[in-house]
Amino acid sequence: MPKNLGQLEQFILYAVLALGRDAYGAAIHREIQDRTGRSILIGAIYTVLDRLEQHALIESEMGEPTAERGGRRRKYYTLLPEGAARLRQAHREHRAMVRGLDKRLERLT
Amino acid sequence: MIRQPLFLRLLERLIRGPHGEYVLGDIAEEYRRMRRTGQTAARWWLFRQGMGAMFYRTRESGSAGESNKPPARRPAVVKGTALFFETWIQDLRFGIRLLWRDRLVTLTIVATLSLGIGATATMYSITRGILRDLPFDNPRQLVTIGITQVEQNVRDQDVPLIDLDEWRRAQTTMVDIAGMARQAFHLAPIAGAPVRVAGAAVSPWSFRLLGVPPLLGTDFREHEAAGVDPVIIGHQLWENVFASARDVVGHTVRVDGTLRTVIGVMPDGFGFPRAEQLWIPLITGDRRSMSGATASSAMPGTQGAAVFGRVAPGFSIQDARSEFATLGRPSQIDGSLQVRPEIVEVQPFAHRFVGDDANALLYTMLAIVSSVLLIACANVTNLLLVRAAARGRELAIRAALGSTQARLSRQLLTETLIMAILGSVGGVICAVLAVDWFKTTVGHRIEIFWIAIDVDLAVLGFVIALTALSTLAVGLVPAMRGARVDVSQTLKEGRGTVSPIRMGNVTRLLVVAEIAVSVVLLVASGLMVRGVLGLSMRDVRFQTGDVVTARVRLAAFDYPDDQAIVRWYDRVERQWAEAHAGQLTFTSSLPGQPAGRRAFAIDGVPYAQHADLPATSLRFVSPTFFEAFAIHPTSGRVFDERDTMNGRPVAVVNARFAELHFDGDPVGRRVRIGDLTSSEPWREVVGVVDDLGTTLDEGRAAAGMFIPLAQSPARVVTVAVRHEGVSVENATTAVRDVVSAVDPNLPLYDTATLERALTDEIAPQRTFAILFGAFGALALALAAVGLYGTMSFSVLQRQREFGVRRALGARSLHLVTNVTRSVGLQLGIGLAIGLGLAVLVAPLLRDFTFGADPRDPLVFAVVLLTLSGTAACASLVPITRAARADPMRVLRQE
Repeated sequence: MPKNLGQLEQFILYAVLALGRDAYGAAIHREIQDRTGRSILIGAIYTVLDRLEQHALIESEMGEPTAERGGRRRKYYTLLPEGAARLRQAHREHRAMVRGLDKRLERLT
Repeated sequence: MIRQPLFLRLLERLIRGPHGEYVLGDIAEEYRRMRRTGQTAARWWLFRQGMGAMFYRTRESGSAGESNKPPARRPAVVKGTALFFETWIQDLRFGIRLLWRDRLVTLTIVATLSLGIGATATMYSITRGILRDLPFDNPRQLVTIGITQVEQNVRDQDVPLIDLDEWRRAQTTMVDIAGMARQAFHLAPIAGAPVRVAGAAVSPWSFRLLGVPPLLGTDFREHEAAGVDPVIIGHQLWENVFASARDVVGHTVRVDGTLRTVIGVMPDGFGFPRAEQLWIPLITGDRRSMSGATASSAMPGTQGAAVFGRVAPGFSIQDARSEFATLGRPSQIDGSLQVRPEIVEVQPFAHRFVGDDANALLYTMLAIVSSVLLIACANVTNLLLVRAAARGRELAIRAALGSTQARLSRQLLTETLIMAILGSVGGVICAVLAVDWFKTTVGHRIEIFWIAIDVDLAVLGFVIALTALSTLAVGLVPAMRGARVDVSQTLKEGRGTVSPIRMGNVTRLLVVAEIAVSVVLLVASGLMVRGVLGLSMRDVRFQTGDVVTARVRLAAFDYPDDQAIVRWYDRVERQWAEAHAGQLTFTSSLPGQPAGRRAFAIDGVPYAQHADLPATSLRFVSPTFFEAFAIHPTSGRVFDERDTMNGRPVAVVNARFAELHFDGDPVGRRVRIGDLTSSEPWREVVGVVDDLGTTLDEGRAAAGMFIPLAQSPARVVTVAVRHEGVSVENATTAVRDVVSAVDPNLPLYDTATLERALTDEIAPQRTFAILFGAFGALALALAAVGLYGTMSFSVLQRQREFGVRRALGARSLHLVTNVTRSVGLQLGIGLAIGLGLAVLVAPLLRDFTFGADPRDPLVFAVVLLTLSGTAACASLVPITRAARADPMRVLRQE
C-alpha cells in the first residue's frame, strides 16, 4: 500500500472513525452520503475496505443477522492503530494545506 | 420476513461466496432507506449498486491474515453457471466498453435496427388494425351483395327492395340475407333539442343474423305489434344522450319526427354497418299489410338498400357468387327494360367499407416496409462484418493468449446482443410514437367501428423476436469468421492488413439492392408528396380567408317538399342579412371540396348511348356564392334574384368547362343534367366564371357546372359565412343563432373554418405521403450507411495496396478513380434497376398520387440527384482516406 491515503480511503476511514462500534458497509455509505452528498458504490466501498484490512489499517468481524437486511449478517470494521496514525497524518497534511485559505477559496468565483 | 426486491434475489444467485451476504445485506438495508425518498430514484440506485456489487471481488474471501500471498488462480476447469456468468459479465463489460469506443458505428447499428423495427411494427399494426375481422361470429361468412354497373364502373349500388325479397325467397347458399340503409336521423327526446345521429334502417332479423343480441331490452321482431314503431340505440348514444339510464328501454323518443319506442340498447363497440348508433326496422315484403304512414316513416326516401348476408356452412363465397349471378335482378326481368349491363356482386363484408384500394395500398406499404427491414438487417450484417474485420488483430492476440474459439464467438455475440436489445428498445419507442401519430392524423377519420389501430403487441413481439434472431444469426457469421482466426497468419501479416476476413460480393450486391429499393420508395413518396402538394396548394383562386362553414340537413318530416326547403333558405338568408354584415351563402359542397360528378347532355350534340355522355362536377349554389368567394364572371352573368324556383332554368360553367365542351362562348347554349332519359329541364348557360382551381384533373382545375340551389333544392347543404372583423367563435355562434331562430329543431354540424375544412379534406393523403416519405428517407439513409460501410471497409483493406501503388508512383487521382469506379458501378446498377422498378410500380400508385403524373420527370430527377448526392457524401470519407494513403506509413508497418 502506498504511503499516502487516497481520497476514498480517507473518507472511509473518517466514516469508520465517526461510526465507532457501528461501522459496517451500509452505515459507511450513509455516513459519506450524509456528509458529502456522494453515493458511492457499496462494491467500491468494500474493495477499499478489503485493501485497508489487508494492510492492517482496520479489522473486521461478522455481526448478527437482522430482518431489515433479509436475514443477512453485517460485517463490522474497527480502526487499528496503524490506520488511526495514517488518518491522523493525512488529516494533518490536509489541514496544513488549507490553513488560511478558506476565505480566499470562497472569494474565488 | 421482509419481501426482497426481485432484483436483489437475482443478485443473490449471481454473487456467490461469503461476501455476497454482507454486501447484499448492506444494499438491502440502504435500499429500504432510499425508498423513503423516492421509489424511482431508489430503484435506479439499487440497479447501480447491484451492478457495481457484481464486479466487487474479495482479495481472498475471509482471509485478511494471508494478505501478502498472491491470490490463488482459479483452476481453469471450473465449470458451472457461476463461472459462466462471471466470464459473461466480463464479456458484457468489455463489449460495452468497445461499443462505447466505436460509438458512431454502434449508434448507426442501433439506429438502423430501431428504425427498421419501428417502421415494420408500425406498418403491421396499421395494416392489422384496418384489415381486422369483424367482431361477429364467423366473420368471414359475412358478405355484401351489390350491383355493379359494368359500363359506368359504378360499384356497390343499392338493391331495390323488391329484389331483396325475391332473392331472400329464392337463394339457397346463404343462411339468410338482410337489407341495410344508412342514413342520418334527427333524434329528440320528446321535449329536447334534436341531435343528428348516424343510423340505419335494417331488416328486423339483421342482428340475429350477425349473432349480436342487444345489451338491454329486445331485438326487432319480424312483425311488430300494431302501433309500435321501435328503435334500437347504440351504446355510445345511450351513454351520451341518455346518460346510460337503465330504464331507457320503453322510453318514447322522436326520430325524424316520428314517435318511436326504444326497445333495446346494443352492446359497447357495436356500430353496424359502419359506425351507426341508431337503428329502425327496414320494412320490406308485403307493404299493404301496414299503414301507409308506418311504411314511409320506416324508410323515408329509401327505395333500395345495401344487402348483406351470411354464407351458409358448407358453401363458399364463390358458391354464393355464382348463385346470385344466376338469380340476376328479378325486378328487371319482369318487363322493365334492361338498360345497362350489370352484375350482381357478392364480396366479403369488410370489402365494402375497406376497399380493394386500401388493401392494395396497405399490402404495398407492408411489402416495402418489410424490404426496408430486410435491408436494415443486411446493413447491420455489413456493419458487423466491418467491425469484426477491423478487430482481426485484437481477436488474434486474444486467441494467442489462450482464448478459445467459443469464448471469442461469445464475446462477439454478446456485443451483437447488446445492440439488438438497444435496437429493440428504440424500435418500440419509434413504433409507439408513429402509431400514435397515425391515430391522431388519420385514425379518427376512419369511422368504421371494428377498426382499432394500436401498437399490436403480438406484432411488436414478433418483429422484435425476428430481428433479435436475425441479428444474432447475422452476428453469428462474423462471430464464427472472426473467431476462426489464424493467429500466426494474422500477426505475421503485420499491422498493415486489417483483417483476415474477406469482403464478398454479397455485401456489394446488398448495396445495389438498397439503392434500387431507395429509388422505388423515393419515387413513390415523391409522387405522393407532389400530388398532396398539388392538392393543398392547388392554386386556389377563390377567397379562403375568414370563412366559417357548417352543414345542415333538412329532414323530410319538417320539410316535405322543395317549396318548404327553398322557404327555409330564404328565411335564413333574410334573417342573416337583417342582423349581420358579411355574406351568407348556401352550397352543396364547398369550393375546394370534391363535388359530385354527373353525366350531362349538350343540346344539339347527338349521343348514341348513355356511355357517350360527358360528365362534370356539379355544384348547387345560392346566388351569393360567387360574391362570397370572389369568383368573377368572365362572360355573361352569375346567378341573381331572377333565378328562383320558378324562374328560367339556368346554369353557370367555369372556364375549363367552356374550353372542354364548347368551341366558342357557351353563353346561350343549353345543357341538361342526367342521362338520355333524364326528366331534368334543359338549362341555359348564362355565364362563364373563373376556374375554382379546385380538385386537380390532369394537372388542371376540373371542369365544373353551377346550378341555382333554388332550382334544385338540396336537403343537405353547407352554410358558409364570410366574417371579416369577427372572431371565428362569434361568427359560428351567429350562424347557429340565425339557424335556430328560423327552426329551433335543426341541428348544425361539421362546423369549421373553410381553411380547416380544406386541410381536413386531405389529411389522410398527407399522412400516407409522409409515411411513404419517411420510409423513403429511411431507405436512403440505409443505402448511405451501407455504401459507407462497404466503401470504408474496402479502402481500409486495400490501404497497403494503395501505399505500395503510391510508392510506385501512382498519383492520388489514380487511387481515387480506382475507388470511385467501384462506387459508380454499384450506384449505376442500383439506379438502373431502381428506375426500372419505379417506372413499373408508379402507375399502380395512381390512386394515391392524386393526379400527379406517374412519370413526372421532376420527381425522377430529384430522386436521382438526391441518391447520387447521398452516395457521393457517403463515399467522401473513404475516398479521401484512399487519396491520402501514405506510402511511408503503410510500408513502415510491414
